[in-house]
Amino acid sequence: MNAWEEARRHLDGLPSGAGLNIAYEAADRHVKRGAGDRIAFRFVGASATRSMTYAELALASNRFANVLRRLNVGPGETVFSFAGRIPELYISAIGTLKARAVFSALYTNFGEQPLFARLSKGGGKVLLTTASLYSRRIASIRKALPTLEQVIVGGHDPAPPLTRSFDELMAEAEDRFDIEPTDPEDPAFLHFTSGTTGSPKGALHVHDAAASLYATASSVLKLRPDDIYWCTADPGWVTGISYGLVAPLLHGATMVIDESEFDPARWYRIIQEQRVTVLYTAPTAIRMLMKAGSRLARSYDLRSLRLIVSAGEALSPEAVRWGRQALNLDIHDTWWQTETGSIVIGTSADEDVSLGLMGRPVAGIEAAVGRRHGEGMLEFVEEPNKVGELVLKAGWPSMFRGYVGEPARYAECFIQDWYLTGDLVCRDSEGRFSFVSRGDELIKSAGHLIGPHEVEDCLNEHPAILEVGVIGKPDPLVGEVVKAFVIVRDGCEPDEQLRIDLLAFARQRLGPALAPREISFCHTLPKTRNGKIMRPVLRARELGLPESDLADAEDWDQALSPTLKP
Amino acid sequence: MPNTLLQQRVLLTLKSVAPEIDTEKVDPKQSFHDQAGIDSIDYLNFIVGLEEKFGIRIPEPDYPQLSTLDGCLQYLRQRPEVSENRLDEGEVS
Repeated sequence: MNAWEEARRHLDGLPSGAGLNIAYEAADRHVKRGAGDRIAFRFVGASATRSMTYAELALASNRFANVLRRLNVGPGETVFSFAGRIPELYISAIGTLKARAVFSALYTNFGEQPLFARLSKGGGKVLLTTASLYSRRIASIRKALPTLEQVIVGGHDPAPPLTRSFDELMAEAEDRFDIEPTDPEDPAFLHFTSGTTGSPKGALHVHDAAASLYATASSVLKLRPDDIYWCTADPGWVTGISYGLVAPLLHGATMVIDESEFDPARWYRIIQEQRVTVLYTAPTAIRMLMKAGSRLARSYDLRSLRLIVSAGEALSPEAVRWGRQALNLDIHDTWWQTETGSIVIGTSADEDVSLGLMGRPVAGIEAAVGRRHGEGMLEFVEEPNKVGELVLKAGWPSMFRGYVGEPARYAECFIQDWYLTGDLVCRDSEGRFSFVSRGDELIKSAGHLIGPHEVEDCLNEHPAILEVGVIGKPDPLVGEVVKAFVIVRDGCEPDEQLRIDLLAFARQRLGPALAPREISFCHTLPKTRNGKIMRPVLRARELGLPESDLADAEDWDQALSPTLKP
Repeated sequence: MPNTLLQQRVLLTLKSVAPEIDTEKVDPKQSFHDQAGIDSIDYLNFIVGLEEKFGIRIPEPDYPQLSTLDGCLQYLRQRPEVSENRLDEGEVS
């Protein structure tokens, strides 16, 4: 029996053999098994902590599924959320799956432009948000989103005009809902990720992802129903849904949700007060904890923690050493991405951590190091410690099933039956993988992928800009920060005032998640013969590295990315 | 609330991190994050900006006190190194 079949044995399936639905596995089945009184969520707010049991989650998500039915949301239609980590978001996610609609969460630090791109591409029919976020970011783009029929507002503030109150809709809805037959291959989640070129991509995942999420939470996190589990990722990114919602609920664990923004002292206090046993976080957060010092860490009782796991970007040896010294625990690395839907490589809870190594493929995953050669040719690198692209044998349950509306872009991710991850890695003689770099020009800031094209597109709309090139500038805290190089139009003065205007313009439209933190003016941008900006040369220039090797390349359109296609 | 020099310098620091903010509209009691879309990195940059502007070192455990305008003013008024605390805080025209 393979790993996925084994995991499926631990899932109940819908009653009467009506298929597999993540919402049923995450909420209802625990109630059926007599565990309805167990706490599913502890929402740690600024002033109080509120708990929600599995039974309450099952009933509230039933109500939300009935709300969607009343609003004529059918199977396969998309319900978006654009909200902080509030209970309404988690209830609506599970309720959406019960209605066999697709749930997609958007990060609250997005501005109007990335929101519009994602909402329109995903064909969002319903959006859950808050009154404040609606007024600031959604109201101005709503008219341009013809598919968006309903906006539901959660939180304490009254619903603005043209929106519906979450509480009122829920109060009118029944708390009984029978999930209709659900095929494991029916879509469940839509997660957006950035592309090197073009618009963001909407990766579609199916209900069968439950098998991968259940299996990896067992094998890597060793998650148990008595765990108090805290995943610090925001649901606006894949980790915050896969491991910040679905996987812990599948196991019947208790999840801590921190409704506030990052603060080291509060984080330690939460671990101490909530008796957190498993923490799933990211290297940027670990670096911020390191910055706050180990004395702060040691002033709290963190002995409840049995495991710390990291995802989102490479985990440095310094971070692991700091964890040992300040937290008395090894930090275990995991590697995966939006498209994989679940952890595919990692160092599990019962394995020793090796500095600088991510770990091994999880059971059920076949991983290899490959190099692309022309169209449709993949060469495997068998020799250990040689750099190549991480490639994965397609077919695991949480693998994405498409980019919404873009079959060609999806097809480009595969050679034969191998999925090409775009990350460069090495594999040692014992089969353990280490991360080398991205193989393309995507920027990784605070663990989030940012497409330079999306940022350039926005800045190009500013009347003072003639041309712009965007890169990731290395940053000790967040990995990379977005930096833009700008050529201004004749008649415009490249002065401090314009720099501030451009920053404000970009932040207003893109939001702090994507907007550049730095802008430099320049007279020329290095380009290929085809007019494509050579971002590696810009990056070399920024870092004071020699540009000549890069700039002398015979054909930059080929050489832009030696391993991958741009 | 009088538009003091201290307040003006805090808001200028905020604006250097997030120039899109209309400082006239900042609610002094609400967190910068909730009303103006300030993320964690902006917040760290804002605190570094305050350290530079006021020539002080702000210890990490004090960061949460600076999440609102009122919190910033209250905190900075307690720091003897802040020059405004040594002068009469006159209104800025």
